[in-house]
Amino acid sequence: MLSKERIRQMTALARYEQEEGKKEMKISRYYKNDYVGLMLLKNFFLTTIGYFLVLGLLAVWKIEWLMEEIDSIDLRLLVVILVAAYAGMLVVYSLLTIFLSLNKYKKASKNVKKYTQRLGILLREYDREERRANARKPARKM
Amino acid sequence: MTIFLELKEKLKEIYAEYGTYILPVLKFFLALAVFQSINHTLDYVPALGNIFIVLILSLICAIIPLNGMVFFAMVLILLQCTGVHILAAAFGAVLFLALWVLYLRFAPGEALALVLTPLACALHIPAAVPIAFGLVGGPVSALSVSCGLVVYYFMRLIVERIAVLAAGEEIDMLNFVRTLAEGVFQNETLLVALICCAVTLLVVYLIRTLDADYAWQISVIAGGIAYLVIQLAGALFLELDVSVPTLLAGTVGSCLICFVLQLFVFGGDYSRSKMFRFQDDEYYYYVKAIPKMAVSNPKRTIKTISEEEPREDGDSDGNETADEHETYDTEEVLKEYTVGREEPDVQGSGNMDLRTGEIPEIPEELLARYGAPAGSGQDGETGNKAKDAGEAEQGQRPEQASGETDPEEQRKDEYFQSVDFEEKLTDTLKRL
Repeated sequence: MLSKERIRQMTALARYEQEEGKKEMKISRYYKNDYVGLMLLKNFFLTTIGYFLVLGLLAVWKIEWLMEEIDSIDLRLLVVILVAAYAGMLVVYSLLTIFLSLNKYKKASKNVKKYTQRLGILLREYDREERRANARKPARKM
Repeated sequence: MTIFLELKEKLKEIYAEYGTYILPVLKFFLALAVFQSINHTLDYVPALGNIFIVLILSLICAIIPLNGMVFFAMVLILLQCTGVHILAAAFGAVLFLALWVLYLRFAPGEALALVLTPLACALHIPAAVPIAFGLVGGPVSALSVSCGLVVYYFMRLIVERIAVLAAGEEIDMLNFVRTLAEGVFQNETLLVALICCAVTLLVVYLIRTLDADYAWQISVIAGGIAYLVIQLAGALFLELDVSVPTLLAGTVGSCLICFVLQLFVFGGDYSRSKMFRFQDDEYYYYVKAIPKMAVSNPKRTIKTISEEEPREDGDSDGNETADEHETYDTEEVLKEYTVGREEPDVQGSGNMDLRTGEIPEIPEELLARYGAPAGSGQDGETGNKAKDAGEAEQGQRPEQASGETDPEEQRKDEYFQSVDFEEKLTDTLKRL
């Protein structure tokens, strides 16, 4: 039998599943530290790629200067500067990633909790309906 | 202003009902405008400018997320760049990848700003995008707007400098690549535009979020002023080539567009209807969820309380003249007053019904003024009866005499204030 309350709950659940739930339910499967760790790993690779891309573009920009001064440049100092810049960039981007991923995880957990609660309400609705249906059935005579 | 508000309500209603169809159509037209703008600026591969290709791409973009439109736009730019030189396309690819890796991954839902920024720049209203996204978005939108500006200035670089270099017979590769990099990293116009847009967006956002009257309107004007001041300062101190009339007209136009936009956006919930499909053990459910809409402005119906109203069905033959009708009514009113004193209106509805005799009480002041002092004739009789009935009622309901205000009494008072009994009684007395 169709129940208005049950359909309302199911619609809300379906709405969440089809919209934010798609991503958030995946996020909530992880433990908080695991999720943040995964994001940091992803960030490490992307930041490294980004760093080398920017470095390449900067090298192209200063290509004439590099070609002229390549003999007189203190390579050790240059490497130290490049590594320091990389480390600095990585730290900044990692902090940003931690902050954003923690926020995202918190929001996802909150919404998934609401989703689970709603799921519980739906199950109770089903139980109630089943009990009602059983009560309506006439008791068998022994 | 009221027209805009009414229009907003109508738009909300239409969008809620047909949002599922409106959104792809809007995306189609946006994609068409973006691709046409790119092809207009970089017209180096004529095959890509073919309208059928543009239409097909736009149709695809209509059904995919906005990030897909960004991807197609970038690919189109790179393909057009190959018409100039393959190195230009390679440089562009590296630049776009770096932008995505370093900035755009932190603003995944801001594709619209990225798409609209080059379009607004091409239309000479660049201030419209930072102001608009300061109104509807947040500080993160500044990243997308900045990336959009980089893309636009890269296209301008290709047109203004690289295409000229590539057209030469002998291409100095070193100079070619250096010019490309310089055009991005050493472009003061781009730098000023980036600062200008970021500051404008933040100014608009900060003012818009203030708890102040007219914050939205003020933020639009402040954003326009901030944009203008920074651009002029940049032109003055960095000696940039800026056309002041174009800048002024563009900024004013942007402000006007955003002013209209804030009228539609402020307090507007453009939720659209959605279709959901799910199932349980017994049924498949196909649910269409339509957002609840507030009733805009209910039509006001003014109810005129007069003695002619209840007699509409009684005088259907229409033989009576207007004068006779009026005389009869006023007499009927006086009679009913007398009856009304004996059988007071229990419900206190406030509306006088001559057929049912539910007449409210006559205030004593009125009776004392017109009917009570007379000692003879019908007038005096009516007045005395009314006065007696009034005294009797005073005896029955002492709590009213003590000055307590009953809601029923209030309604009656309101009724008497609405009907001009003095005039009616004066007319009747004159006739008598």
